[in-house]
Amino acid sequence: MKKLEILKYPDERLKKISKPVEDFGREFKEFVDNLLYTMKNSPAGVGIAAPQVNKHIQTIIVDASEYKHKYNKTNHGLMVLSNPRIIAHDGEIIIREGCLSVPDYTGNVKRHYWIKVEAEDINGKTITFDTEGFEAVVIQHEMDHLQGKLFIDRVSSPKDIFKRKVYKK
Amino acid sequence: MKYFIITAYGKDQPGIVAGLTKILFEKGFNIEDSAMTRLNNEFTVMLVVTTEEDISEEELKKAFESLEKEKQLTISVKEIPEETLKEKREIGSVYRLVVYGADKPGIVYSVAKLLADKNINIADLRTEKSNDLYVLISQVEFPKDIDEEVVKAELDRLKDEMNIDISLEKEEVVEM
Repeated sequence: MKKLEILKYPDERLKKISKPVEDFGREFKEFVDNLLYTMKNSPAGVGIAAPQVNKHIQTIIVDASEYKHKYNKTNHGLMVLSNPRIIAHDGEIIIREGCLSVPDYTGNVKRHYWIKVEAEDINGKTITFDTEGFEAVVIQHEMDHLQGKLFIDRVSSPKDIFKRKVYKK
Repeated sequence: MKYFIITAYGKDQPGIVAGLTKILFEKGFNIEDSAMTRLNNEFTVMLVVTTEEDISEEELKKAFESLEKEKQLTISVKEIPEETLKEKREIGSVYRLVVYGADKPGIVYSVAKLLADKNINIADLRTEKSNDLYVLISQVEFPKDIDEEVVKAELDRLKDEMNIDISLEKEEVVEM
């Protein structure tokens, strides 16, 4: 497995719209392995989308299980989702989001609190589940990448976007 | 590369930012970091700028002279040594501190003193006052070796003493 290079804004390739996944064969699974490895080897990485590593297919990986967050009450652990669709939603939630592709900023973004998702699993089988809070936010953030959107597109005012003033050694 | 910090303030009116940034643009400066806002009726500007040009503090100050007169602004310029700007400090966690309550003297001071005594650094702080409600919102940096519970206990004590509300929340940023 290898860590793939993560595209960083203002790379235009982050703005491209991704194509649906149709072939869930070996090549796809190998790519997913590398994508997962890339996510797990990024600090505090709880989600990643294929276009972030310059592969414009509709696949996202989410794993909210290892992250303590006040809104992380329930989660489904590691999930590889392709062609995800939100088929129902309810409520609102705002949390501070960071993005591997926008390293210098974080932002408060308004998302649906509860979502019902339909997607294809790693083998191409259609699954349906619902989730809320933190995991729901991660899924929506990753789904935005598939449409060429970043969290910056979603903040409502300059007061909701923050430069990382933290200096790390 | 040269670094400067520029501050400017004056009665709020259209064209302050345009006037300042026109000069910076024409002189070949980049704006690295800035905060510009209106406080009551004064517009205030703080900028950290960089340039590859060999320009001195005095020359830059001179470039602003006609604008200062025209818009009745007070402008100051200070060069920052490159080492200071690139200095990296090791810090623990970042917290968001919100204080609010009925306006009374000493709210900002008592909070700031508590933080300073614990070696907690303020990275950003804003206050607003409307009618009788006073609100302070701040981003603070804890040193590495500090116990969150100890700080919380002290803030609780201050809360009772001043009869204000205080909330301290760790800023959790998740990478997606």
